[in-house]
Amino acid sequence: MSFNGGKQKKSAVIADAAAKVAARLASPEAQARLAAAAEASRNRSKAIVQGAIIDPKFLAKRVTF
Amino acid sequence: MPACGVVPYDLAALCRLVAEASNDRAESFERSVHATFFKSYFAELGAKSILIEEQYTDRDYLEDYAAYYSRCFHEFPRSCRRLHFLSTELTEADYGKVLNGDASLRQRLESHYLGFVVVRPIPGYAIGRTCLRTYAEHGSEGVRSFPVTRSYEANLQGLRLSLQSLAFQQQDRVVAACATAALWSAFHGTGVVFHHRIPSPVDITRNATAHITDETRAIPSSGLSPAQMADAVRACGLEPVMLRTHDIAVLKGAARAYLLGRIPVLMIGGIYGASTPLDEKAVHAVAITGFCSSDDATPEGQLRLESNRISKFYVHDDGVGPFARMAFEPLDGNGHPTLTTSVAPTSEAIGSHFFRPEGLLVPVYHKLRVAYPTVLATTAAFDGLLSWLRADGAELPEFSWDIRLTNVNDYKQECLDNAALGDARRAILEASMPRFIWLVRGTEPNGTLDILLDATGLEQMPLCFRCVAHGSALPDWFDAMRDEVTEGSRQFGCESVATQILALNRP
Repeated sequence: MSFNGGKQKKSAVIADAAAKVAARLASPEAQARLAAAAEASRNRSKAIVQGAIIDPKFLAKRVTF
Repeated sequence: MPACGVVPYDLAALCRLVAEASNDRAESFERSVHATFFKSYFAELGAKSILIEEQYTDRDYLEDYAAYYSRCFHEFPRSCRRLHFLSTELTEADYGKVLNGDASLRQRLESHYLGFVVVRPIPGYAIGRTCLRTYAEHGSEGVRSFPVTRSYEANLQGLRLSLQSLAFQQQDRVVAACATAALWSAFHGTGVVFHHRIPSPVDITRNATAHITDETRAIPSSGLSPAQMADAVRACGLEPVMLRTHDIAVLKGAARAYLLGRIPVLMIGGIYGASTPLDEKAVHAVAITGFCSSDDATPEGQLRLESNRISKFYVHDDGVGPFARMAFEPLDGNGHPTLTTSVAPTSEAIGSHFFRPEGLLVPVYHKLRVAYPTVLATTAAFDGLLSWLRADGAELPEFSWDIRLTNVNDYKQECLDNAALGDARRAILEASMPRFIWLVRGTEPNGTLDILLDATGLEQMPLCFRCVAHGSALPDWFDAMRDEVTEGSRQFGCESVATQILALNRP
């Protein structure tokens, strides 16, 4: 979306578009999509953090080269 | 022998000067991986002359000498030779004129200074403290960045020759193995940022083995374990952050984020032969000192991170040289990253080995409690929220995310210089902020969004304490969908970020 007007005009255009989006988001289908997407996102976040935990076996390796 | 001499630079001269000072044969050094590296590095820097400084007392070698070499039956000299490199042709007569006060020649010498190599009197392990200029910022492969360099000053007969670099040295296989050499280089960076004493190699090996002892003696050193390396970090008053790096996003992202916070990062991994990728030959450690970013785009559907553009690391690899290249290869069969390395038993075998990173060790100040993976996870969650809103028609901008560690002073200085912030600038400058900040900067065609996370906070608490935006329509969109954004962010686990963005449009 491009805006040529001032900030107020821009905000008004966004408010109008956002109201339509908000109406769609209120539907049960959208809420189900939110739940699924949020769960996938939480799993990904968990995988990032847990995947970076060092393997205890690694700590005992010997850096010799 | 005069205290100083000058010779034209070429590889044969370099090898002869190193061999003479280390009681080695020039042919032996010429065949080494280090000589091959220096040949290519000095060609890139445009070296033309070598200024030879005799009887140089090097603090690090002197401590190693006092702790070990002075007690050997063989008499090792206690002083070194230091070689200074210049990108201008200089003769002995010219240097004589400099010492007689020729200001123009002195200025030429100072402005063409490329750095120095301390040559230790140890055959086979001659390369001591080495500070050389980095590669130029722009190269054919992309944009290079060396955020952890600091200023060094070489004092030579009244001359003060300065450069930006990070010290490198080769292991001597007695008081230091590769792990000690990599730690020593990293401490040269953290010593300036976090104000701690920089230990000598022998001190590092002793500190590393003080509490976690081996079944065998510590010196001569046969290497350190990552746990011992972590102990060496603690001995400097810092905390070791250890991260597993099988995920390439964590490897590239964490290395880049900490380096931009001026913290050198140690990378530990296996060395593999190209023909037998499953056969780990040894475990190696290097200090990452820079990176090269190219214009390769992030694959469709993935989180768009600036760090995805990294095509190679520059590392202080004691088996190769300073700012040595390690290029990313395609992911292996397990989806793990692999890098090229010049480490090899002989110069003929360069290119026959590969490096597979297992972990990063980051020496940080104790208050820096939140580690990179938490920040990446928060960014991914927020990006997920935006994708969900977009899927139902919200015309939100696509952000590319630049994650880096910074501090309150650097961030506020950047804001002070940023006129695009307009009226919001004063409030940002007057706001109270934590000393260390994780800056997640989203860039879109019309502007930027800075998400500021408290790097000193508790990971289980909301970390986002402020957002700063200019040019982007995102705050207006969020303001117009307050309830949906609040509920969505709660479910995505990025409520504190959304709350701070919503706060931008409050009067």
